[in-house]
Amino acid sequence: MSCISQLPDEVLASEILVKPPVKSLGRFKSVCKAWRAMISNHDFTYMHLSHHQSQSRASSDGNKQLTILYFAESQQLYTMTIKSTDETATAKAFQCDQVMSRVLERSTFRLMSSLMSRNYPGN
Amino acid sequence: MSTKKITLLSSDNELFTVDEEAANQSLTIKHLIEDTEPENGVPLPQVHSKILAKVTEYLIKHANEPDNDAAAKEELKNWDDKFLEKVNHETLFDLILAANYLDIKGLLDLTCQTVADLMNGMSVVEVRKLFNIVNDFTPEDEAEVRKRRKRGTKTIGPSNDQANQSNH
Repeated sequence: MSCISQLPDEVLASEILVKPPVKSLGRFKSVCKAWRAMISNHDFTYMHLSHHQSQSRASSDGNKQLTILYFAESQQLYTMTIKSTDETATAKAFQCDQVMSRVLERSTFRLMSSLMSRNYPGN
Repeated sequence: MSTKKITLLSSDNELFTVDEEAANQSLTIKHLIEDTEPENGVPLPQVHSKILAKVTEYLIKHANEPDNDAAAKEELKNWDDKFLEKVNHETLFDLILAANYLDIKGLLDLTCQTVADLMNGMSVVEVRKLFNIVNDFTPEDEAEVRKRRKRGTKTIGPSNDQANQSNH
């Protein structure tokens, strides 16, 4: 038996699965093999990231917010949301949510710094 | 100003008439009109009348989207919520397929967001049921996934050394 879904894959990936938070995506990887492959795909990771970044920008709380998604070698997805009320705040002043405090792996940190320097020229 | 009427023909030969402005929100219909100038209605052989009725209801409501009117926007949002409130899962998926085929971005966004919201509170088993998916993982696969997940968490656990290095 295979994974049969009447929705075209591109609709499933680019219209539906980009929307849930990463935490839920981890769970949905257990739905079937096709979903696992789709969610683990790097292109999908970037699609999900850009969807949530544009959502963050659209949020109206007035705080700077940045969501990072990282595809670790361990095949796990992580997200990190960094919020700041002050553009000149230093990296240490950013509040990382608790899910993310685990992701202080070197390469992630580098990715984070590069994204921050792009979004927060004050740093 | 007179508005041109467009007739749409469902797969089961039912006719639906809407203003051109409403119909043009569907890029597929827009292009069909431009390319073929159909005389007896735009044939939509992939859409059943039951679904096309809902689609035209959406198109008519969204024909004149408010730009800067916050109250009107709010009203439209409430209408959208109500529009899908009593729709069953099967119809919801048919609407996604129709919105995708007809290329109606707003309706595709709305229906897919509704499915995403539904999924968010669901277990893996419930998601399979919603999408009519058969679990094709063997018990061995599942054991492997659990093992890998455990290992993964351990591998990238917090390490002060690494954090300090990266900070420099």
